[in-house]
Amino acid sequence: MVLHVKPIYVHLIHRTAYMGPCRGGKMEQLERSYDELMAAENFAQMKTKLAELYGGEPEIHLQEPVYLPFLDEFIARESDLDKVKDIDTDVFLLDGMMGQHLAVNIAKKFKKPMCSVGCCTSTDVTACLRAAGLEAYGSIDLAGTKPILKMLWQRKLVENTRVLSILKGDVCSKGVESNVRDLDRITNDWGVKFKYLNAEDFLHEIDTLDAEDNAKAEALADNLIAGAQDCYISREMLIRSTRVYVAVKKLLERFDCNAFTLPCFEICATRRLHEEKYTFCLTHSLLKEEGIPSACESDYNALLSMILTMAVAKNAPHMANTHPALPHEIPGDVLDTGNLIKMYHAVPTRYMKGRDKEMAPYGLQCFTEGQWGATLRYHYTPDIGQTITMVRLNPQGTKLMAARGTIAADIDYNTIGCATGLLVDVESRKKFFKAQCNYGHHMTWAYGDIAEELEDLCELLGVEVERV
Amino acid sequence: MTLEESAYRAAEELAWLKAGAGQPPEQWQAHIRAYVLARFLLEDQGEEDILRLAQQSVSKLTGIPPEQLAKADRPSGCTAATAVLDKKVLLVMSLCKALEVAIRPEELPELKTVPQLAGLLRERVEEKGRS
Repeated sequence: MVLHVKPIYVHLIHRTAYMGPCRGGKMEQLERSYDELMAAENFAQMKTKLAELYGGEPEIHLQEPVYLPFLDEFIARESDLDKVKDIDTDVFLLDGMMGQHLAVNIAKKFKKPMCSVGCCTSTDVTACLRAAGLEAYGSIDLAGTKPILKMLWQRKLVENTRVLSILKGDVCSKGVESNVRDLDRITNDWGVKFKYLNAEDFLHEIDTLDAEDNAKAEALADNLIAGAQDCYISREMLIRSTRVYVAVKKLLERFDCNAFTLPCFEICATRRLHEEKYTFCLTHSLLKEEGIPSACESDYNALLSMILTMAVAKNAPHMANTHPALPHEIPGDVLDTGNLIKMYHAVPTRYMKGRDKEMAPYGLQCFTEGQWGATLRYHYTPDIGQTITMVRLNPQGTKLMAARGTIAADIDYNTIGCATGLLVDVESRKKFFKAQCNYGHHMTWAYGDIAEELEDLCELLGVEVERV
Repeated sequence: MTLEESAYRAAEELAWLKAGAGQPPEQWQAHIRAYVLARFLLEDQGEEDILRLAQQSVSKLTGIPPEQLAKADRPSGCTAATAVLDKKVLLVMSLCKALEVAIRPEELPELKTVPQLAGLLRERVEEKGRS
């Protein structure tokens, strides 16, 4: 997913040499040729600076820059406006001298966001367009456009998310009552779309994988075993889980989806998983590693929070049951600060610190005592002391909780089931829990403090961020 | 070099250039170079990059050390001209006027060195002579 940016440079060209207001300098500096030559130099410099700023940013695609001379007759000609037309432009980036009139007319003609730069263009244009109900951003200088364009790219990522949601009995799982219910509004406001598939069809897909698909599942299992620091699941049982991943990938492609969730509780109750010996945890982990948001238990809030977190942090995040740690849940060798939060779910990934980072060491463990249901495991011990941001959308879909904490301990690495996770130290356990009671129990989280970036992105989506 | 001396020197070079289109390219280039240095009030230290020469000139005139100039030289108010670019543009304009030729605006950013400038001006003068 790239953000297509159309750079425009505007320069006021005086048709003849004259002195007057805003016309300082000697007569030769006031000639038309001086304006035209200076415009050419500035346009070249703009292109050079943009290449420096965005050359290493694969998400930002700079379309062919355009230079628009603005004559001192102060008219915006349609033929000039048409020069900035390009394929699939997402945002215009305009810099120069006296670019306001053209900037406003371009924005009004093409109805695309306008990011304008410098004095006085940025504030003048942005105020005008926002008053007209159009999207506009001002930047102090060219370098200042970077966080703006990054935020617009994040929004584009969100807008282009299409969720494949497996259904069993209801849209929302009974394991997540704090779910967002008005998914139509999420589609209208965020652009996220939802495609539903009955659980029976989903399970049938897993059952009917062909030889090629099975070979993929086997190869994946072998690869996972080879790279694991420790492995407590047999190859045969691991393959039963990797087959689920292969089936989900096929379905995502078939339905043109790039996010996933399913109601593990309700599907579990069909006993099919007990008979066929797989769970979905490994699939969630592997999908996230590929940049595909994937949430447990049909938790749409967690999924939407994950979509935002992954857009901002470019990570493959963990999602967890989150609750203040009770005394018996705190290991004896861990300092009880009185503000420890327990986070656990068997869906860590190997790229929680960033999908472009080096793969983290991992283990493989079973979810069930029957020694099936593959899950990834990760030791949080080396990360003790690191800051994290825990995130969850409220049931109304209007506010996002962003809570900061520091990793305090690794828990239950080897424990079979869903208990694997971490303890996080927050500023106030009481304040955290009080806020959490407005949001729900599953938190998605990212390394680092990403609250400010989440605020910028959420502002575009009409979501308020509550920092805790 | 004083301002008067540089103005006199620049005028001399322009006079040679107006009449010197038929002279060997190396001489043409040498006189273009001499004009640039005179215009910028600089002594010849071998620098050929026009913007660097302009920076040296602005640095000399303002007293701002070259390493601090990039930060300080920003367009202000309602102009889009830095002092360094102003020098380059006026330089090229003066040569074009004196030689009665034109450089297209889009060609200017690619004229990075004195030899490149000399080459393009000579080309334009020869084209004018043929037409």
